[in-house]
Amino acid sequence: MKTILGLMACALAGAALAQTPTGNAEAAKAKTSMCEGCHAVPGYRTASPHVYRVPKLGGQQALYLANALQAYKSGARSHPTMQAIADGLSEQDMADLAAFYSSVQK
Amino acid sequence: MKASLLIALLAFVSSSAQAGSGGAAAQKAEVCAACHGADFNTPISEDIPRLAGQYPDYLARAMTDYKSGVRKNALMNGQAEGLSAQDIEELSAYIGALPGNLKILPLHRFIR
Repeated sequence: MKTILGLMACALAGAALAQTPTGNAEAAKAKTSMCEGCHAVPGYRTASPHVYRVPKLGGQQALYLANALQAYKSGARSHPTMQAIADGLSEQDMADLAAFYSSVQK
Repeated sequence: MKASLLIALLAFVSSSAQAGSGGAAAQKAEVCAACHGADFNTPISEDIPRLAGQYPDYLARAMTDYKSGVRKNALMNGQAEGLSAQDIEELSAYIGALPGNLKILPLHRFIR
């Protein structure tokens, strides 16, 4: 019994340690459709709340991208479209997307 | 002698003035380069974005939002605080024109 409890505790600790998931660029390919409507269109401009071209994501740093998505989801960074999209993303989705966009070579 | 010295002095002043105006943005960007990388394509850590070749209007938006506090980052809020609207325009144009890894993934890449 004690052993089982110990094993469960270890499993829980392991799960807690794995809070930041490892990104899988391959898995992201099923999740990029929501990004490409804007970020895959050269020169695409967002109109709200200001007009400017949406940033290039290919080749960007993975951790920066994951942090940006998390900030949109938490509301720390605001943009209506990005907040709505990030709201539906899991930590794993964010890590996968970050891995995908950052892995693009020149 | 005096004339040649004057000419040399004038030449020096005009060349440094040229470097000043032509390289004004580059000079202002030196502070940014400490973290974003000397070439703006190799940041010092993975949570710092590559900026070389990014759209200038996006860069300007980011700096303006950091300056106003709408976008929050302990370091960037402090850095952007001292930038004028003209500083932001010049920095954005300069950094956005640098070559780098950033690119747009075209739609056809997603067709599978």
